[in-house]
Amino acid sequence: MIDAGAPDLRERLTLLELVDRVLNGGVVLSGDITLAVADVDLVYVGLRVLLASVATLERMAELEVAP
Amino acid sequence: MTETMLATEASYLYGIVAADGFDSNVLDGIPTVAPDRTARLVGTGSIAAIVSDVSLAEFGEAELPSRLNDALWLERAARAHEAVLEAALAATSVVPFRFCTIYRTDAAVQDYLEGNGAALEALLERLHGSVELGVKGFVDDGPLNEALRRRSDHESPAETSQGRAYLVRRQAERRLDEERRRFTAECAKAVHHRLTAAARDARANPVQPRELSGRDDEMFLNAAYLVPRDEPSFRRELERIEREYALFGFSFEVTGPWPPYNFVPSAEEVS
Repeated sequence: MIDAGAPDLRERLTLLELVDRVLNGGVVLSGDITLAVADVDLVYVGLRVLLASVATLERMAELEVAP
Repeated sequence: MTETMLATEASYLYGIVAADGFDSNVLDGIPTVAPDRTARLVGTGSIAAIVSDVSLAEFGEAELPSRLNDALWLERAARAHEAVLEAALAATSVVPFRFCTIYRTDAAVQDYLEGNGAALEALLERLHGSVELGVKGFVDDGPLNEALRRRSDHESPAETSQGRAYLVRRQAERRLDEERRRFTAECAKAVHHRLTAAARDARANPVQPRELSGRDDEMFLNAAYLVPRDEPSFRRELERIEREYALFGFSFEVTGPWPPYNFVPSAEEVS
């Protein structure tokens, strides 16, 4: 079994929807400090890894409860 | 000059609102990207910026890239960015800015407002009373294949030779694949067209692969629609579409209401 603190996949996906909007949408300014395109790409790489690992955890949990 | 050089804090910009009649009390108690700070308004004219103070030790140019790779930090900050905008959205129309747009001082934010007042006012006018809804469409191959097979069954002739039957079956499968792709693409177009007609504005984004959608069925539509805040006709049209397309294994996911992230221009058009 995975421990109770493991993040729920559904919540992760809502987070992805949100991160997608706050990073790709909205007015982009050349403020004093802004995110570089390369940084945004890095976030996506990180999120993919995170989501993939959550999905794997859930599959493992399913296997363990299966008879 | 000295003040800027010694500064340890900066002004994080969430979005722009029409200042007339906007009660900044709605921002009280809303967690900001720096949890111990409160969001406030900057601006003296008819438009105002929603900002909060952030520490440059956390949000400085050199520090940000590593923070972004900290999933917990990113999640907390992204949710706070959204929470502040949603609190404002509940009370008025909002022009959302991209995550981590930061000015060194309130004075710099004020300069931005003064330099772009007319464009921002026009934008607020266009977005007035509107919110963004996200709609994703998914197709389950099983029911769709069945529906398409039923449709084409009468066309397949009976075969006697085994080898010949195999070839015919393979051909039929390939035809089915092709037909499924074509049918799904046509449906995506038709659905987007109908939803666009029920909305004030629309934007189709690239569909996401299964690993991002987290679903076994395939995404065929990933769109955002700008709709009137209190008007149910868009949702009614979507419910009609859901009923009509369920037979083919199509289903839909709605998110929002969101601040209109997909319906604001990029910097070049505002400045």
